Order: sequence, then C-alpha cells, then structure tokens
Amino acid sequence: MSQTAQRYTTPCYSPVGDDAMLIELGSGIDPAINEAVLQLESHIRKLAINGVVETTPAYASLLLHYNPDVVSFAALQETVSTIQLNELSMSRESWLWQIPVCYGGKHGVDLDFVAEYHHLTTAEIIRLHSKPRYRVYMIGFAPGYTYLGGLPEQLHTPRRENPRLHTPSGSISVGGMQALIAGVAMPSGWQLLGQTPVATYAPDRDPPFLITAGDEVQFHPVNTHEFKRMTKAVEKGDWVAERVAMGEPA
Amino acid sequence: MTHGLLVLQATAGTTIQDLGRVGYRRYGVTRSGAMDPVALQVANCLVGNPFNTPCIEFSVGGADFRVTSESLRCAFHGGDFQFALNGMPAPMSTSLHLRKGDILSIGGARKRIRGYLAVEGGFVLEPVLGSCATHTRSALGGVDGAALEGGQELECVTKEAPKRTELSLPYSAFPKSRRLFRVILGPQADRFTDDGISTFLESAAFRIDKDSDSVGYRLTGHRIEYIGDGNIVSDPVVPGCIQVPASGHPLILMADCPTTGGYPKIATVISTDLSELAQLPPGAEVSFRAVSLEEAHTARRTQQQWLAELPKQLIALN
Repeated sequence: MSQTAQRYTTPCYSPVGDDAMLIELGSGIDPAINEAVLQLESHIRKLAINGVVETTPAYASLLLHYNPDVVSFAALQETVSTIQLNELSMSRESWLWQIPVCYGGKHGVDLDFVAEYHHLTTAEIIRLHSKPRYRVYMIGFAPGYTYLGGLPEQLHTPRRENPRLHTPSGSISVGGMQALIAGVAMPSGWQLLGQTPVATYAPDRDPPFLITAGDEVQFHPVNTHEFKRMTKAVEKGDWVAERVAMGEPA
Repeated sequence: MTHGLLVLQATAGTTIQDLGRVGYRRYGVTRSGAMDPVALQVANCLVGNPFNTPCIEFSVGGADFRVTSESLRCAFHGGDFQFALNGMPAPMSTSLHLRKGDILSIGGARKRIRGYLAVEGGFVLEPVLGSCATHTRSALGGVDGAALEGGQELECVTKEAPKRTELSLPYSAFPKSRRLFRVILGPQADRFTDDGISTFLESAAFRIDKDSDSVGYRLTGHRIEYIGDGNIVSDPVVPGCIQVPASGHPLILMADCPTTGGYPKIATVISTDLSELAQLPPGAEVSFRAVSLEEAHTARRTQQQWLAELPKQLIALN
C-alpha cells in the first residue's frame, strides 16, 4: 500500500459495473482528502439526487450506487461535477469517542507478540496505543468495522501471515499503519491488542451504529473486572462509550 | 404455537433471503440477499407474492420440511435440485397446494446450485435494517442471523391457502444459461499490464475454484499480470467486482461480499449476469467479454422487462 497521499486536481469518475459510480478525489491515506470525501458525500445526500440509492465513502473515494433506469452515468457525472468541492462546508456533527479497552490476555492475544516485535514492554504498547486521538477514516468491510488513522509509528506492525479464522466482536487491533475496532466477529489477519465492550454495531439498539467516518476515537485501558461489568451494561443497551462533541473538525 | 413449515433437516448454507439490504453500506453492512435474485423473483411470482418476499435459499445442499399449518401454497424454482413431495417427484417451477403433514424434500444440486422455496404470503420474520436477508458472517437477518437448522419452525403469514388454479413456468420461458459473462472494465484496469488485460478477456476459460462461496468466487487457470505491489488503499466494492490479489488469480465478489476491499479491480460483472454466475458450481468454466455501459443498461432493461412480463408467461394447470 502506498503511503504517499495525493489529492487529484479534478475528481476521477469511473463506472463500477452498471449501477455504481466511483468518484476518486485522491490516493493514499490523508485526513484532508478523507474530509473532502465525507463533505462531498454529505452534500450529495442532502441534494437527494433522483436515482442515487446509496453512498459508500472510503479513504479517498466515494461510491454512488444509482438506478440506471432513473439517471444515466453521464447525467450523474454532470450533476456531481458542478459541485464546488472547495466551497463545501462541514455541516455534519462530529464526535470524539472515549472507548474502553481491556488489553492483553485472552482479550488481546497478540499484545505480547507486538511488544516483542517492537522491543517494548506491554505497558509501553498500551500507553502508546491509548495516547492519540485517531481519525475515523472509514466504516467498511463488515458492520461497524471502524478504520482508524493516526497509529503511532512505533506501533506499525505487519499483519499475520496466517489470518485467524475467528476474532471476537469488539477486537481492537493494528495492521500495518492502521488501527481497527471490529464491529462483529470475523476472520482477521490483524494483530489483536485488546477488546472493547463497546458494540459499534448493535442491530436492536437505536441507533444501531454509534461511530461514523469523520469522528475521532481515543482509547483508555480498563481491567477485566470493569470489562465484565461494562459487557453486562452493553447487553442492557448502554453505550459504555463516552461521546464528546468536537465541533468543527480541525 | 407456530404454524407453517417445520425444518426436519437442512444442509449448511440453507438461509432466508430476499433482494437484500440497501442503505447501510456506509456502516459496513453489505447488500447480501439472494445469490440468484432472478430465481427468487420467479419463485415468488409463482405463488403470487410481491417479488421481494423472503424465500428459503438452497446452495448445493437440500433440506426436508413438514407442513404444520392447515394448508399452504409453495413453489420451488432454480438449480437442478431433486424435489419431492411425500417421497414422490414433484414439479419444480410450479405452484403446489400442500396440506398439514405433507413432507417436502429437496435433494442436492450438481450443475446449477441455487434454488428458492417461496410460500404464498411469505414467512413471519422481523426485518433487520430493512431486510430479512441472512448474512451469516455478521449474524444478520433471517432467523437469528444464522442458517436454518433441523427443529426450527417457520411461521407462515397465510395459515390456510385457498384452492385455486396452480401456475407453472414453462421451460421455454427460462432465462438462458451462460458461460461468457459480460463485464465493464475498471475501476482499476490501469493497474494491470496489457498482457494482463488480454489474459483476462481472451483466455478461453477460467475455472471456478472449490474455495468459492457466497462471498466470492475464486478463479484458477490463468494468472493476471498487474502493475505495482497488488494493493490499493481500501475503496468501495460491490457484488460482481473482480479483484486480483497478489497471486494473480481473480476473485469475483458475490452477494455476501464486504463493502470495501484493498485489491485492484480489473472489471465488474454486469448486474444482469450475476444471477447466472451464481448458479455455477466450483469446477465450472467461465470467460469474460468487455461491454459498454450502454450495452449493460440495455441488458438490464431486457431482464427487467422479462421479470415484469413474468406473470403473463406462467401457464395455468388443470
């Protein structure tokens, strides 16, 4: 994966099959490019363009799912290309989420390996991981999978050669330069540092999803006793995560 | 006490599906839904249901059911499954009136592997995020987010099906099967060499690997040459996207695929052709032809017209 990010001078439009349009604003992982993607998505959703049925934002691109019986690719591209990207304002709410994590042991089976890999103690890994405010670049892959940027360089760790067939919901992991909160149990090749009792996705809760792209996340360590208590609270519908208003993102 | 259809036994992968979940991809929730949405709609049409009514989807393996309501009307369509009523072969692609105690048996498929059982009025199910489609990997929808199991009883909305003329879809009206799939190149066709693109489009056949499921079909037979390290920053994907991982062996994403992926995509199978692709089992051979958006949209309209005229294609029995 290329680590150098680049903003394109004009967006690049390409078809993804016969009912989706990919709009690329740049390449790589960069907060300004990602912010532009989210602003564009938010604006397009507000425009409620006839025939656009769904939007999927990612790191540097946005996919518009459209009904070709209602709007053509050419007409859609024309509509979108009139949007002045640099005049869009950020009007959506953004939040900083305080997320409890139980590190190590059965909750984070790779903590020891990651510490050894970086010649650090597990306490240092925990301190490094729970220090920064991470930007949520994307919710993708599977329900509530929260992809975070801003992982300290000392924690960049390659993925496992053999992915695990089962990693629990709430897994807190790192893969390369990225950090992740897992919304559901899935196979994964990322290094598991810990587990949060917070359910980023709970189908019966209103809202079913807590965190959205453009929010920020900060972790804080909790012990196994607190983890158990919070897990019970989550089962009763509590969020457990603290939510702080961020106002206009920097 | 529920009344409807008791599952006596079900092969792994037997799930409730409809036309899928829309509106939650931005939270990582994929569409899922029927692997062969055309066949699901045909099954629904045969029993007079709205076309998006949840059905039972069978993938390769079969299942046995006992009717526990007074009566019900059902239709099985899709695949080359064995289909029997009380131990006797029963007509597929035909509506059937069943009574309490009747046993329906669906036996394994071989060359066309997706089948759908629709019941008139549908099943009593609670939609999750707007759909009853089961996505077993994220434990979403259907019955408790999981495949059906022996001992479960599915409640039917209609407890008693009135007698009426039964309907059948004549074989001549079936959609034609295909081995050559139409694709739209991109969105990362520029990540492949000219040789890579011609290997993809001109190879006589790729073979669907045994390591294929409702998330993706792996293809073997030819390696596709790409430029760079074979990774991209994750971007959105849809069913039909053909990713080429570092191995050079393409992977076609299917109904249950993730919402984003980190491999370059050489092309995307057009939505019209995904139903037929989903019918093919591991071992089958496929090849690809690039088409324009216009051609894809024409194909899509033709299919929609075929579905709209489906009720007229059905023939009345007795």
